[in-house]
Parts: sequence; structure tokens; C-alpha cells
Amino acid sequence: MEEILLVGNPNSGKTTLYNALTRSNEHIGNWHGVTVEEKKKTMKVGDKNFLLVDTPGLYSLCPLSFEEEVSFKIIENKKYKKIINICDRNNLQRNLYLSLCLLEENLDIVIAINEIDKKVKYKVDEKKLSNLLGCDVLLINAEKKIKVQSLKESLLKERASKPLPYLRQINFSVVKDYFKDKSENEKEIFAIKAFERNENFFKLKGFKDEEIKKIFSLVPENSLEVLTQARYAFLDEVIEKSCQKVNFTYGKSKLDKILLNKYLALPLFLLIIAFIFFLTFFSLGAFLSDLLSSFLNLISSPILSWLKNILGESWIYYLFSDAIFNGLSTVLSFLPQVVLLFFFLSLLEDSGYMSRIAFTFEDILGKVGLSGKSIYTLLMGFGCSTTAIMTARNMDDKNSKIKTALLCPYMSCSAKIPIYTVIGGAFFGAKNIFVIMGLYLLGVVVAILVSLILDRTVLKSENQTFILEFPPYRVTSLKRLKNILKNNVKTFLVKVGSIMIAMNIIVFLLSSFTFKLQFVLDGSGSMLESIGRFLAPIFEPLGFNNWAIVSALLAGLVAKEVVVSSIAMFNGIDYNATKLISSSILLSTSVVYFPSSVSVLSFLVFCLLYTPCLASISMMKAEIGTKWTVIGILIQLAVAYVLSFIVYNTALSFEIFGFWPTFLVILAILLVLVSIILIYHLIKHKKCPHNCPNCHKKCGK
Amino acid sequence: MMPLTSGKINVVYKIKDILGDNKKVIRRFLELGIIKGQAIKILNTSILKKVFLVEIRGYILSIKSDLISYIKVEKA
Repeated sequence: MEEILLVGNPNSGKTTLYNALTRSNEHIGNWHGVTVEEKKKTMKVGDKNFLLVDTPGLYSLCPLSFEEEVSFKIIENKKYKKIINICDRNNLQRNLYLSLCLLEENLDIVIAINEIDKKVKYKVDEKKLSNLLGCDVLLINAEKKIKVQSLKESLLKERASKPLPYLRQINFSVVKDYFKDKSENEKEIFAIKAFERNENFFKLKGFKDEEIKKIFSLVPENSLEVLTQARYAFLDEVIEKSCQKVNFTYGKSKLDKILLNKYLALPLFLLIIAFIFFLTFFSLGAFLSDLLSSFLNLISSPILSWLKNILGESWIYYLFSDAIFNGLSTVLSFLPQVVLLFFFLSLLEDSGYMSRIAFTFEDILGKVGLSGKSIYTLLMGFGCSTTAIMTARNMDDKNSKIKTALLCPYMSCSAKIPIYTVIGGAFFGAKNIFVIMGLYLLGVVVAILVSLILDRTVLKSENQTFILEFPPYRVTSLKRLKNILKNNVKTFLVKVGSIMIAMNIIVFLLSSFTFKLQFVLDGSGSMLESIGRFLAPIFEPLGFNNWAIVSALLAGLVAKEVVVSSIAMFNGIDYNATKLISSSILLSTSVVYFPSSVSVLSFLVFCLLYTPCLASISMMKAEIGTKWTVIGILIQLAVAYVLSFIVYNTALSFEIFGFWPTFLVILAILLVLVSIILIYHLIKHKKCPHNCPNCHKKCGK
Repeated sequence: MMPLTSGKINVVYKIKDILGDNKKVIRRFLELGIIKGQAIKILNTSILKKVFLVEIRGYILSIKSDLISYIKVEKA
């Protein structure tokens, strides 16, 4: 099937148009670099089917980051019929710069100018612009699907080649002579690429380093500047002749006076995040979870009694009641909280606030060897580590990318919410709000410390080029809100419906059958018990040497949601548990076995920090390679073990002396103190003794 | 001629030159329209002045201070 490429600057609306053309629901956002890999889907134009390829954003055909390289290679491979070059109408001149690069290579393109905002900077005369550039130009609205059909029709037309006037003003003769065996068209393209000093292009065409050096020696020292000046001078002329310009600064907002205020920016960000967490976990989210939990209990009771009548107390009945109903309803009741968290993260992404956060955090994150851009990946980590790790491609240098990907799992992902709420809720009751907040804070503090250590030792960041465009603030449409909710519910249900059922069945079978395949109702002598008991002594110093808990941790390697469903499933099985402590309000029909509250705290810390799920591990392997994935897992296991050990033993000594609640208070104060010290250390302004402006002691005097 | 880092907020400057070691950064500046003769204005700086918000060609960019010092300007 013939391919059609969708190419454009970052945040110009490529994926919105892709969704409109292919009726898809791919992730979009009002932020630089949401798409980091190519996506393909069939699109019908007339009677013909095409494969539409969405590519990551790029500014020119000289890639500087990993995701730009993906697009560059797809464009240069030239295995497609046509390119749709989408441009943001309010930043038209800058967007048309890429169009010129494509036209210079004589590629068959159609320009789709996307109306993203109501406020219009350029009133465009499509015909005039089309004549000046020598390709079809269409004004569209990707979100409202306006003129999308006309765009489809224009794909069937072939572009008549038209020379670009500014290229005649540049003297390419010396370079053209070097490529004398090439065709006239190729000679010009190769000469332009030589003027661009485009190493990637020549490498892709099979040129050796020595040869590339020789080609570059033929062009003037300032060749790129000459070419860029010519391109922009032509664009000035094009805009002058084809557009009416309204004078306003794209992306400027009065809201920035507050949100980017030196003293308010950081507290406001923390306030917004705290508000999101409060709504997700404790007010709206908790209310909806309780509601869903009651509903699930209501429908599962009659079904289970019906099943019991038919199947009797056979192992098949227990498979249904314990593995499928009990386990799944426990996790399903958390659907509102997980969906709410993703929902708020999507709202943040859509609003344009992400770029502002990156700007605010560049100072702090720069000190720990990360970039302000990392904040997007790290915030996404609170939703799902797997998708977050993929967005680390946005980083400019390899070491920052590795570090950002390695830190993602320390951000407590939404799959861990059931663990904190069910197990923490059972033991800490109303105080659990502080335990959960503490766990989230601990994850962030550990991530900062790990990043600092990595930056000072083996992963020093090189040449971070923090150049980021500021998008305007946007309000999410109702249609988009509906899509966000629908997508997140669907993703969660598919995950629960596939991986979780499979895992729960495996865990049930392993915990109900012996190695001789005999069914055991109480789990004693089961395969899982044997494995759990074998591994349990390792966790003795952490305070939870119960085989069921250890087995749940092992099951959590596949998906963290399985940890709680496994524990729920083991309910009533483990007669060897030392002490029955409490029953959770949320897990009303189940009870959880732990020796004491202290061991629960240690268990929660371990769950927060230990190895992420298999999907995240495989994503890490794909993004940063096997070596760093293994190192990352080992660091996580070590950090989880050591911190759980410290928490357990310190808390235990307080418990012995009867100061257990005091321990929680001291722990919270310590965490806050460490955070304050870290923040102070990171934002401390080091004044240069030589009074150099902004040199931060790097002047070398 | 002075580096843009020494510039004042909300004052329009004219770009005179772009000088620096990191060729990738210079390439990106040129692509974004930061070229000689272009008007540029500082809108804001981060807490530690390590990042600058600048207005160029009617849109806004945030750029690190060590990179923005590549841009040499004079008052427009």
C-alpha cells in the first residue's frame, strides 16, 4: 500500500490531523514532542487506500534529537507517494521554513495550514501562497475536521515542480561540479545539503567521513547562515505578499505574570499537583471508588452463589471466585482513581502549562543533570512508567535520556494506587493520606538523589540544548474531555481484562496445586507456597517474610495491579500467617496478613521502589539498551531493599519503646527536611566573585 | 555589541552576530529564525536566570542562558 507522510513542526497539530484522517484516537497534547515514534494507519482517499504515517515533529531536515532523526530517515527514504506538511497558522513563517526545506528537495507536498486557535495572527490568501511556493495550500481545522475532505482530494493531484527563486542567488557551482556524475536535480539537492553541512544526509547516502569533510571544505565557512538568511528573506517576501499580519505575540499570556513569577511559580506548581492528588485519591476518586466497589460486590454475590450451586466447592468454583471475581473486583474498584489521574495529566498537557513547568524546573533539574524537558517524562511517570519512558526520547543528549528513563519508575505509577490504598488503608486508616503523600515524596527525593549520583559519576550530561517553544494556553474541548475519559477507561479495562485475568489465573493455579498437581484448598504445600517460602527469608530483615506477600511481589513483576489482587486471592488461604491485623474498608470482604503496621510500611516502601513491571522493563530495553536496563533494575532493587530495611528497623525500635506514631511524624519531618535541603542546595545562587553576569562560577577567572 | 544575557527585560534588541562553540545550537537558532538583523526581546527569566524567555518573529522561545549568550546584540 502506498504511504502518505504527515510532516510538520512540533506541536503543529500533526496527530490531531492524523486522528481526523484515519478516525483514530492517538495521544495528543499542547506541548513539544508528544509524538516520539512513527504511527501508521489506513486512510481511504476516493476508491484508493493509503497508509498514513504520522511522524515526530521537526524544524528542518537536519535532525538534532533522537525523535527528529526518526522523521528525517522516513522522509529521506522516499518510499511514499506524497507528504502532507502541516503548519500552525499562528506561527506560519517559522513553520514554512520546513516547507521550503521539503520543496528544495523537490518532494511532492501539500501544505495544510492548521487553524488551532481562535485568535488569528496570519490571514492567509491560499491561492497567492500556493502560487508563490509552487504547491497546493489549504486552510484546514484538524480538530473540527474542516476542509479535511478537500485535503484528501488534493492528495491525488501531482505537484508541478517550480524552482525556488532564492536558490538562484546562491553560488552552488563549485559543489555542483563535485557531483558531476549526478543528475541536474540531484546536483542541486546535494549542493544545498553541502551548504546546510548536513552530515546526516550524506551519511544516509553512504558517504564516508573523509568524503563528507572534503565536500564541506568546498562551501564557504558561513554557508548555513547564507542559506538560512536567503530562506527567511524569501519567507518574509512570501508572507508580505500572501498574508495579512495581525500584531500579537503567539504564546504570550497575562496568566504567565502569575504562573511564571519568580516567587510564585514553584509553590503554584506544587499546589496544582497537590490538588490533583487530593481529588484523585481522597475526595472525588475515593468516593467514586467506594461507589464502584459497592456495585461490584452487589453484582458479584448472586453470580458467585449461582456458580457455587452449579459447580459445588470444586477448584473451578474457587478459580472463578478467588482468581477472577475477588482479584479483579479489587483492582476494578480503582478504575476511577487511575482514570482521574490520567485525566488530570492530560488536562495539564493540553493546557500549555507543561512548557511553563519545564521553564520553571530547568534551574532545579539542571543541577541534578536533567533538563527542564524531563519534567514532562517524570510527571507522566505518575500515570504509567511505560509510556513515560518512551517520552524520554525528547532529551537532547544520550546521557540525559538514559537518566530520565532510569528515574521514571521512581515516580509512583498509577498501578501502585491499589497497593497503597488497600493495604495502607487497612493498617493506617485515616492517617493513610500522610503515608501515601510520604510515599510519593519519597519516590521524588530518591529519584533526585539517584540522578545526582549518576550525574556526578557515570552519566554526566553533555551539551544540553534547552530550547523550547512556548505554546499558548488552551482550554480542552468537551469532545476531547470525552475522548480522554473513554481512552483511559478502555486502556485500563483492556489491561485488567487481559494481563490481569491471565496473571490471576496463573497465580491461583500455582497457589492451589502442589508440584504433584494435587488441589489444595488452603494453599499449604502449593507450588507458590514452596517458591514463596524459599524466597521469604530474603525479606525477613524487611519485616514481611510471609510467603503470600513474597509471591504477590513476584506476581507484581508482570503488572503492579496484580500485587493487591494476589493478596486478595490469598485471603483465607494462608493459615500460617502469624497474626490477623485488620480488614480494609475498601477491601471489605478480604483481610490482609502482615505481622505489624511497621512491616506494612516497609512493604509499601519496597513496592514503591522495586523493579517496575515487565512492560516498562521491555520499553527501557528498547530505549536505553540492555546494559542500562539491567543496571537500572539492580539500582532499584538495592535502593528498595536498603530503604525498606532502614524504615522497618528504625520504626521497629520506636515500636518497642511504644513511640510508633512518633516515628511516622519524625519520618514525615525528615522527608520534608531532606526535600527542603535538596531544593535549597539546587536553587542556591552561586554568585561569581568576578561579578560576571549569569556565569555561575563558570567563567574560569 | 553585547551578549543578550546582559540585556534588559522588555527592551528590543537587534541581533548582530551568533557566536559559540556548540554548532548544533547555532544551527537550531538559525532554523528558528534567530538570524543577523532580526529583532529580539527578553520577556522573562527563570528564578536563577538560567533560562530566558525571548520573543522573536512574533513567537516565544525559552532558551538556557549559556546558549542565549551566543546571541550578540545591540539596542534596536
